[in-house]
Amino acid sequence: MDASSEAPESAGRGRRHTWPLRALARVVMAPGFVLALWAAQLLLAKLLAGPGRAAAEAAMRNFTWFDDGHRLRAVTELLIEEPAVAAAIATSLSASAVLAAVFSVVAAPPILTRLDGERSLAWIFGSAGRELPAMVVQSGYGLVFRALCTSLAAVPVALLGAGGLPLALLLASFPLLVLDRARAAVVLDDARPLHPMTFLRAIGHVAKRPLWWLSGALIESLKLAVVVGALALVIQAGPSPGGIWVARAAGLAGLIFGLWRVALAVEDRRA
Amino acid sequence: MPPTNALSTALAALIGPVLGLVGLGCDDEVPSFRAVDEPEQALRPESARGVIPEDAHIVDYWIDARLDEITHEIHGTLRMSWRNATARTVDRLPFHLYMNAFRAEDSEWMAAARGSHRGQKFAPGRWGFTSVERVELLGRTPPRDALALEQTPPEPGVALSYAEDDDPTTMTVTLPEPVGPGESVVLELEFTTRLPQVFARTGYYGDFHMAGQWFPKIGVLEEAAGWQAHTFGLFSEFYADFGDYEVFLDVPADYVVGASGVRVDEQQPSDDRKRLHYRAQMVHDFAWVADPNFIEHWGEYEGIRIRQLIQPEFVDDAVVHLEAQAHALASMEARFGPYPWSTITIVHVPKGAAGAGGMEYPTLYTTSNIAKADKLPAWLLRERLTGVFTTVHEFGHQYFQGLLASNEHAQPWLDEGLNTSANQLVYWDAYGEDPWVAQVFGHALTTKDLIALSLIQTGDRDPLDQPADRFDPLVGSYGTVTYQKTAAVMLTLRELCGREPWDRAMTRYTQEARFRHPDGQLLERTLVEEIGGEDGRLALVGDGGPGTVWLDVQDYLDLGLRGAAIADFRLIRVGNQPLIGGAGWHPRGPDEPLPPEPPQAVLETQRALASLFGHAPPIGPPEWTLAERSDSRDNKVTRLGDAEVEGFVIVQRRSSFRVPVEVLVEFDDGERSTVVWDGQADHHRFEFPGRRVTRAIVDPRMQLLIEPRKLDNAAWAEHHKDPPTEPLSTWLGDIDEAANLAVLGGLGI
Ligand SMILES: [Zn+2]
Repeated sequence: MDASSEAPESAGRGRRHTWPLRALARVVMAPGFVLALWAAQLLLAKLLAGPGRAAAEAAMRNFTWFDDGHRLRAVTELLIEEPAVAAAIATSLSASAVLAAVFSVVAAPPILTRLDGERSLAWIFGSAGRELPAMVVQSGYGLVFRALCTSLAAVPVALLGAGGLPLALLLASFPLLVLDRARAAVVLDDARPLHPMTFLRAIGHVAKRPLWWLSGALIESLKLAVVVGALALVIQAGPSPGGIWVARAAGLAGLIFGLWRVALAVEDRRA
Repeated sequence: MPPTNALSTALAALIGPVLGLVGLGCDDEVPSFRAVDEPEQALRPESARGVIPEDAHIVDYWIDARLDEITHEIHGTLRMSWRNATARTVDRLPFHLYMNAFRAEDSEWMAAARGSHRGQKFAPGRWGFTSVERVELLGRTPPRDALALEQTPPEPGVALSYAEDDDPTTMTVTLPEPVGPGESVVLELEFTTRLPQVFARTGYYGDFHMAGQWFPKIGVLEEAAGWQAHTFGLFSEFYADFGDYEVFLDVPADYVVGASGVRVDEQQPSDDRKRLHYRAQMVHDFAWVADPNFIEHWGEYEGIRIRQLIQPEFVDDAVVHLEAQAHALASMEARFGPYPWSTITIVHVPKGAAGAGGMEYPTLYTTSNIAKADKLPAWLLRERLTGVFTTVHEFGHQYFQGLLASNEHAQPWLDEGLNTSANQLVYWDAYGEDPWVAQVFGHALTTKDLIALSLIQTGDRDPLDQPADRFDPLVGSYGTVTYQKTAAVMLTLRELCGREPWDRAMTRYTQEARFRHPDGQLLERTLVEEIGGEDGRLALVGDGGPGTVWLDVQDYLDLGLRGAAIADFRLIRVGNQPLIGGAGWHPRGPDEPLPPEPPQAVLETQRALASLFGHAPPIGPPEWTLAERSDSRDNKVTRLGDAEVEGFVIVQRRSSFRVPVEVLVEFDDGERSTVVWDGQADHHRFEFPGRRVTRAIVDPRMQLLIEPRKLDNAAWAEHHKDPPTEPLSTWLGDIDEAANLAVLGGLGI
């Protein structure tokens, strides 16, 4: 189908070394786009966490907690005595998960288009509508493949313990890279939008490119580590005025990592 | 019995899968440890253990038992010598047949449990029972030298009639002639006990055999109330007299055996069987365990042999349990007197037999496994709760039940509750005041916190001083009320009285109650006398004059032990109002000079002005003076100077539990002061004329363990200039937002 995806990796060794960095450059070259996405992300998180925050504030009435050494007990008391707080938090998290999934489908074409160098806003955002059916279908294939790979990823961990973690991450990231590739093929190279072969070809395509696979897995792992690490930091730090900005900054980093991973699929077409 | 610690269970459940995921294996090499010699005597030397009262020795047992490891049955012959130490005359002897609790669904125990106990399910068809095949009277008040139970009697005994009672967990033996005061009888019984598959405390699991409550055991004859042999129910187990046990166990040769007391002999009559002889002295029960898979781990504490029988996969934990055991011994010997016996055997049950974990018997107890939290990074989780707490708790029963043999059925709180109080103090003594038992993301959960979180849920459903069978299993309060609430009531009293008087009282109580059957009255009397002194009350503030805040110890105990309520205070208001001013008319004092008479013209003008505006002129009776209101009075309270306001703090008592409570008050000038309310009225207002209050905290030192709800204990003053944001809800909101950011994870790209 598309010539570029079938192009042999004829580039010299020196070029291949810098290939992931060139993908990163595509992200860095679109600072406005990145910042807009970040702002949207911050706004969404803020809005989604609003009810939980308000419920917790309301639950405390006009009282204030007074002993840092017994913080865990106090939070537990709050959650036991005011179940609405936990319910609000749980609801916000499931809403986040749904929104993230929807965004991943809808925003894929604009992201690919922008990372490919397109600057026309109309064209960029128009792609979301144009490619929606294809994105839904390809993401559906991706979901099935992801379930398969994720269960495979559990095997090395079960067998090797913590030592099996790198292999597990490699396996778990693979379906994401394949989906990136499939989406890029559809959006940028006019591959058959709904056909399963588009997705199957993408599997073979990524599997044959260890550098992509490795760097993609590394980037995806970093992204996970950064956002989960920031959450852990916020929990560990306790109430602190600037604490939430650690998570917000991590959100930006996570966003850049995510775009970088997608940019690998764009850059691959030029390789 | 193990504390029903939901948190510890949750922690284990949380850690377990995580560790399963990272695949913690253990190598197959079976380690072995250097053995510590078995002590010669079951009791420590008198210099170490103290004097044992002669009259405490009531009953001796000689038991010859054989374990059939295939059918999981124990066939035994038991000889028992029992002395009537009361002024009563009895013509029947009640015996416990505990194992019959597991004989059928309609036993009182099983009916209450409905097939599950502490999360363990009863294995269908794996019933257990004790059947008594023969009861004979071998002798009556034999001369002392003829009391050797191990000798086969020269002539056969007289067969006695016996029958199970309504519930099969007790039976009654009828004597041909009554036994009078000071007389004794020697009986021989033949019995078969089939162990159930481990479900609750006792039973078999594979090759593992835990023989607890496995032989017919006589009840306790009380002077005032007669025979006490309660039906075995869900929530209580022990009440028995002290005496000596000589027990012979015939078991497979490859089985590793642990038992109460000391092993005095071991013989191997055949290739595949061995015969072990154990001796336990001045104990009120005897239990043993056998499993070919046990690894033996040894330790010693001031002449006390500590032997652990541990499953291979948990062998690395032995040192942690040994350390916990040492902490418990150090704390409890210092507080409650010397441990009198020469051995401690700690049993670790295999996976699948968790129902047998966390149970106490004299000089032998079963513990539970440590949840391997040390394999998780310390910033995520540290804990010294799983396994460790069980070891501390079950050892604690060596005092609160083993040595102070209260009637667990009548007053379970004296057993489980006092033990739980003592367990907290073991932690305090070992790790410092109110130490953490777990740290999640670096945030501590302390001993006090654990009690509070337990009390919040079911702490007010029952009073704690009630018989075990009064607790309804469906109400679900037994664990919290008997264990945690007792600890909360006891340790709150300790905090309120300044600790030392409580410590003194407990030392006295445990001294008086060693090798006895103490009851709650003795404990209450001791606490009232030691803490409250002659009039039973302690002045917390003041010296007896007006304004003295008293702690009435008996009143506190009545509420704490026999009321269902738990304490709960709340700040109704914290604020400031204008100070009472001096404006207006006041009679002049006798020594006050008359002010100079104003000129007539001034008076006229005042009158004219007043009549113009329709009010009285500022002229009053000659002996009165008028003070003007200062301009600042018209200001809002926030604009008044600190000297012009009166701070106030109003505390409400929200439950019927009346107890004195400290209130910490912070002022605008940075000073802090602690005031005490006696907690008797429905609410109380503290006033601070001339001072501006900024914040108040009720029970700032968390002295009231019996008050678990503390979210409403602190507040900033109303109209505070710049109240800091509420830290808890801010934190939760931040966590929620950060979690949302993590889930959105770069907007799901
Ligand atoms: Zn217990």
